[in-house]
Amino acid sequence: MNKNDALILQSAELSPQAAQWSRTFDYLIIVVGAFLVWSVTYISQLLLAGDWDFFIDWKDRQYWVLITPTVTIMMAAGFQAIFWKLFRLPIGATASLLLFLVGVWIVRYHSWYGMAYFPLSLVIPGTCLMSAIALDAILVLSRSWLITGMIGATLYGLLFYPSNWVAIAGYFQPVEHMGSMASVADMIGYIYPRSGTPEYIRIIERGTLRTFADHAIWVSAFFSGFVCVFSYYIFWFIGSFACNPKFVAVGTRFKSAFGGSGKPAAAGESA
Amino acid sequence: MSVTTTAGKLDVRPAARPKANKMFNFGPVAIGWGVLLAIYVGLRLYQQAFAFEYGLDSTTPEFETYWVTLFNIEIPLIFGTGFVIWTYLWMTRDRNLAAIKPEVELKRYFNLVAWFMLYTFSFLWIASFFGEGDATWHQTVIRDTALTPSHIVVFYACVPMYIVFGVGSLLYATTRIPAFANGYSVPLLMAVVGPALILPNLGYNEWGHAFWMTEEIFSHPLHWGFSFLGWTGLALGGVLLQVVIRMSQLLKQLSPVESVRAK
Repeated sequence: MNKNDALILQSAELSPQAAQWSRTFDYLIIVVGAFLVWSVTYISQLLLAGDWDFFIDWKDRQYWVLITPTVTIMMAAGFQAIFWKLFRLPIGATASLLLFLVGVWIVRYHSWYGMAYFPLSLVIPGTCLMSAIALDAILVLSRSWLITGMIGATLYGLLFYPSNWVAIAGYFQPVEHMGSMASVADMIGYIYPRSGTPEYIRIIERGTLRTFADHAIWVSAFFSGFVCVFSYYIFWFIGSFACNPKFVAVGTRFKSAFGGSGKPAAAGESA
Repeated sequence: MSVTTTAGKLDVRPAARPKANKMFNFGPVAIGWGVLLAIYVGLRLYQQAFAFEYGLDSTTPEFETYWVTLFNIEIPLIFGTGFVIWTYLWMTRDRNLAAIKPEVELKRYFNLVAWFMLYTFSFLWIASFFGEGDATWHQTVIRDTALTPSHIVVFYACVPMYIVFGVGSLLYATTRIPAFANGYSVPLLMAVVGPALILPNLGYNEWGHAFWMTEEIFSHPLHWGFSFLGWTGLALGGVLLQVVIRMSQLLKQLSPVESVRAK
């Protein structure tokens, strides 16, 4: 223990033994927090936007760019609220999307490839990591959920496609297939059949308008940023509500059954 | 290490080394993780060996032998074990919580966090590994039963498993820690009851799959209930805050004045 540590303990009014217990508790909380962030982020994304992340030929410029950021920012915002309000740590979004990415790669390898023999090139995941870092960076710079929602969430949606472009660009090279133009991603999808996903589901982009000098992708990215703002605010409040340490009063019968003091507690009493 | 600030000068002297940390025993958690890991890896290997071999047609005798048998064993085994654990927690409850010492209370908070370590670990396997693993099955095989080789593992082994630890956490807190016995902890109830409702939500899921020929889109509204209920896991943040608030009070109570103040 150096002088600095000793001074910290003195000001915290903790004995070295208590400080040791407190540090042990920190490690345990990190483990619980990591499992929690990982699992809740995963189950949220999996069943609201999973399909677009599963398959390379679902990574289109209309819905993937819109739906994936709108969904992943939900738990990023929820955990950002918890980490920021409880611990003043601006890492909620990054932790959420980083652990999600780790989990995704484990499952893609062990389940998609390992059990059902899907080629990994078909099930390569996207990433929202750069968007999450931007979201946390805006929070730590602004120290305001309001500004983070306006600027950070818009950036979250806008950055999603560019941050994935390097990884997926190769799959979008044009190829000729039976006299029609398709992409490499489409070809992988044609060759590897998925009995649960009929072909017609993947026929998208019926629109004819090509705005922004033919760069329709930016229309989707911009709209995604817009929707992310609302998604962020809603889940910031859900995260804030979830970390409310509220106890509700119970009757004396309940208390005595559970070994409590038997005295009635006031509603909303906190520990 | 003792710290004194006599005459404005900081004196940092080596003091007696703190006694071994007895507040938290990692052993039971390590054993719990080990057992859970062995079960999950065992189930995954079982799938690898028999899912595509004998799990494609639910009308075959092999399906009955390899998959229905597993289903018939795991449900009573897991819930039976859970019942024993819950009964033990109830029968051995502390009947006079007002009289417990701060050391004991602090130790129980550590034990509660140990329960959370097992609960979140078991939840991770359904939310991530076997949850998405279910998608690989349904993208490959058109289901002819609710009891697919994937569902028998993810819904009827993994879900009961984390319910055992979730309810165990709730029972441990309410029977041994004064704050949780004297009032309902709203976030703890949310964090335990919400994910547990995923089991009855299967009724909605299977009802839809039984009567509609839905394409296997994982993001189908039929599956949204799982995500909504998964969000309640966020409330564990509120529980941890309740724990931190009380533990910081207890840690100060357990810090002798002479060990932190100038002599």
